[in-house]
Amino acid sequence: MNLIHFYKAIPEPMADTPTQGSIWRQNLVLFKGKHYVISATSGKGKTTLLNMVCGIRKDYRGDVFFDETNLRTLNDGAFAELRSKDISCLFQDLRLFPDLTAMENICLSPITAINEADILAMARKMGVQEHLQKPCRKLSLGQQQRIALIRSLSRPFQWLLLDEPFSHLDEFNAKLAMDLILETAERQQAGIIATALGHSGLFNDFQWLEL
Amino acid sequence: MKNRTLSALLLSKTSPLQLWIALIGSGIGLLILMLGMQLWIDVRSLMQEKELLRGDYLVISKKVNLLHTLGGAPTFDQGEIAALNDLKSVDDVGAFLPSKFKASMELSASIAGFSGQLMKTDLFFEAVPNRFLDVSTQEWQWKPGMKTVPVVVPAEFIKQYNHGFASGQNMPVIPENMLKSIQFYLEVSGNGKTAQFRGSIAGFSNRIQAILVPNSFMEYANTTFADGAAPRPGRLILHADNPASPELLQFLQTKDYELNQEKMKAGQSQLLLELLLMLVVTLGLFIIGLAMLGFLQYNQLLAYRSAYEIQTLHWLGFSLQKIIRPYQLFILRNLGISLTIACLLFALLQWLIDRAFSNSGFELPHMGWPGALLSGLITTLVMLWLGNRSIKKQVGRLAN
Repeated sequence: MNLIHFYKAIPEPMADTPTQGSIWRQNLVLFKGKHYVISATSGKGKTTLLNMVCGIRKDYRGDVFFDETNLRTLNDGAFAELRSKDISCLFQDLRLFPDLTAMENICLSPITAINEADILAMARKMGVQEHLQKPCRKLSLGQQQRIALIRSLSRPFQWLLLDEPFSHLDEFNAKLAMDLILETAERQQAGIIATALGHSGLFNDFQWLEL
Repeated sequence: MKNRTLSALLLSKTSPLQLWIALIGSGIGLLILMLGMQLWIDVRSLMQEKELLRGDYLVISKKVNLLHTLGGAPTFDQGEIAALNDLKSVDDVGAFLPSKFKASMELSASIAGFSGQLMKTDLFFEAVPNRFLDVSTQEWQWKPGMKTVPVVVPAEFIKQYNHGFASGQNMPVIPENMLKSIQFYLEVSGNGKTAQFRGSIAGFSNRIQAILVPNSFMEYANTTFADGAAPRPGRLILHADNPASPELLQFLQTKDYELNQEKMKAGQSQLLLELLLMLVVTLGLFIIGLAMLGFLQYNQLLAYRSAYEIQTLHWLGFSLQKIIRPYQLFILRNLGISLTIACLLFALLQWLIDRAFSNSGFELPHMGWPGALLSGLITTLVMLWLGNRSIKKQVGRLAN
């Protein structure tokens, strides 16, 4: 999965809407190892784009390729396998299990790439180590977002999809999170696609794409 | 650890009361089915022992009314025989060939010597195809030129003689095998000719109430001592799978034919019993159907309540198979519980029924329990298959 290629792709619900950005209805290639941030206001399809890449949404026109493979040829099982080994997502709505502890949430993965000590180290860096044994429903949104981020970083991936990763974090914690993201992605030589509502200094090292 | 978390997560929204109602319902359904099956098999084997289910032979004739007093007894023609043969429940039809000649039997004084009297009596013969006869011995054959004619006598005659006539007339009681060794004389006459034969009893029939001679002798004697025209049968013998079949009964009633009522009653009570047991089995299946429906809905609801968890796990990369597995194990465990409940109650009821029967001096054959257990097991497997199928569909729907 060295590249992701968008070819004249547009989500079905937006098919009749005129677009000007560099992704929808365009010919765009994203390379593994590089970092991209997709910036747009609400309702332009940022989440939809990430969901198309990880196989959660299939209602679009045009094509999306992983290397030479058209995503339309992949079935549900193949996408689940991709999400377990090659693509890791931080969902906008976090998708944590409220009754499980933070640690259980992080560990509940089809494949775990790192051990408990590494998870503890990440939690310490993010300032949530003392919350690991608490059920997620008892954590604040900011703490939940950091737990969800640790979950997405503690898995194997070639591509990391981050949907508004700092929406519930203050600037200090967002900076800590970004350092951890870049460090982990670097180690795995992964590509990153993040979304953001507007321009932010946090994404200075990223290539900006407008929707 | 991971699997435990997964099943705890997916099965966290069970409601024990609903589950137990569904389990007890399907357990009771299975129990009724198993009991019905067992009784059905037991009753069938009991009846088969008593020859009640092997099909039966019926002898039918037409009713004699006042008009027949001048024209002779009513007979069957080929069309009527063919119509009977066409009935689904009738396997085979045979005609009683009547004798058209005069015959008398004579017992010599030396044989009848107990009273020192010569016994002579007029009689008539009939013949039926050998396949309808319940007597099969080597003596049962006759070819032109043979001087000894074998005869089959109704077993009922001997009983009546021994238990009624002999004691009343101060005559000796004669056992069946002794009767077989007695030879008597037959005088056959008609068409201006007379012939003497020796007669011997070849056997006793429980099935046919007539004095029978072999077909070959009947044909020979009807040709020699009568005008030779083939006589039309006045009685027919039928073999029916189920003598109480409504089709046969209705046919006989429409045609106003007479038949042996005793056999009909036995057949009807057997039919009634079978219907009753079939009703029990159907009731069991109906309850299982309802319980299954409840059980399927319970599982679907359980999955539905965990829609968020199912979708999130799938989005995190868990395959549908991995997500479905805890549900499958849950279904397997629950069906195992309901089958166990059914088997325990089945064994308990078996014991109670046995005790009730043995107290009244009756023993059930116990042939049915493997069949009953098998029916319970097969039904459980069908439920397992249906449950798995429905949960697969439901999880697949919720995951995407």
